[in-house]
Amino acid sequence: MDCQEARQAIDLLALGALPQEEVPPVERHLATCAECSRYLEEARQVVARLGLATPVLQPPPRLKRRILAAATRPRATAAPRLPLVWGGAGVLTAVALALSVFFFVEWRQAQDDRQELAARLSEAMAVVQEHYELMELFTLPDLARVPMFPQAPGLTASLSYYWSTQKRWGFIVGTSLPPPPPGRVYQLWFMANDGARGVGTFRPSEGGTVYHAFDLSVFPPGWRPTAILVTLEPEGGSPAPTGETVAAGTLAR
Amino acid sequence: MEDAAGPGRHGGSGMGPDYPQASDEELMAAVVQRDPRALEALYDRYGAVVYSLARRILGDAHRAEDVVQDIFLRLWDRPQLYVASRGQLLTWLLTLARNRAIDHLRAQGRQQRFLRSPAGAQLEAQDPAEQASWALERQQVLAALANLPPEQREAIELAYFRGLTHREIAEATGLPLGTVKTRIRLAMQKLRSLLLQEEG
Repeated sequence: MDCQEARQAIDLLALGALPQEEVPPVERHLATCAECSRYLEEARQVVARLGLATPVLQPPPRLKRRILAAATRPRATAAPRLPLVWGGAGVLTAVALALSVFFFVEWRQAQDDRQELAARLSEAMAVVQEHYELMELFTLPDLARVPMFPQAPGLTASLSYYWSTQKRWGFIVGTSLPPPPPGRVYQLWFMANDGARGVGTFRPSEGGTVYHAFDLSVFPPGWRPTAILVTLEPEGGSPAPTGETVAAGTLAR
Repeated sequence: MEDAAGPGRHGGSGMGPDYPQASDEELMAAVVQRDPRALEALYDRYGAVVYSLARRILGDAHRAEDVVQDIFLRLWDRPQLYVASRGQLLTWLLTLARNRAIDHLRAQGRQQRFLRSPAGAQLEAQDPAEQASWALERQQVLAALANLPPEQREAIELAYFRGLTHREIAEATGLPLGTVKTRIRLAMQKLRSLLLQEEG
């Protein structure tokens, strides 16, 4: 492979568009060509910046709390090494070692318990914060609500869609929603004359409660949906509604 | 900055850097010192753009959150993986986020990558976070992309946002493989000349 051939493959490689089986010859060339290696570095810098060309959305506030809580949560630390000292007094040393091992195991257990409790506390705090967030949303002066009606036979779930135009924030809350069947997930959609727009997938909690918030800035300015739907879709979500409708609500014009 | 002492300033007085104003290098040095306020400042600076990219690729808020959490915890746990001499922190984070999100997408299977949101019209100028430190750079990238013919933009988008190989792009668009390669080559040449020129 010469440099000219390599350059085309390098652009594809930087983009992640080179099939795996075509990578080894490029790597062999790169190993012997400093110029092309530099070319690859530059191509990677160009490709990395493409990530900036995407509409900027604010992540939900809980994400920051989750990350900081996970970062500062005590982690399992490497076990201190026990000094292995085998002197002449074999029995005494063995007893001392056995006792050391016993106390060490106890100490480690206590440490693990403490870390587990700290982790649980941290998670519980995150849930409490989420509830505060929800309570704050309910106090927004322009909060509007649309009830969503179950569409599946026998479904008794109660779901509502709330939104604040001022905050550009919407969320659905609900109760008694059963877990989705294996391999499937609930997905929320806004419907308009020009089609459907998904606003994420969700699962109810173990008790069947639902809280799924999203940023309304994802919609283009002036886009007016007429209905909101929850459907069952394959795990990972679907680009368009394909599964059965679970609940639906009509949005006033 | 007046105080350029870096992590050394954390000793004794307990004072940290002026987090919102500190440079990426200062914040990374503080992350190495296990200062969570530095991680928070980096998240405040780049969390939204990393999240937006992951969400754009995955089309799912929850999984995008997981990607962002992975990226920032990786930064916290292994800050030494970032080598400043090889590029900006932001581009490193975007690369990690893109790769992680594409891994998720590939795990969903071929159909998801082929069928996700319609091709084209994705690399659009939208309201950027005007105050963000990366707003100007974002404008440069958008301007560079706007310079590409639509068919070249589409080829770049299919590769970058959907993780398709050149063969898969040919299959998805019905174009000959040679045409796809040419479009990508021409697009990359133009992007390279515009973006690296801006940098220089």
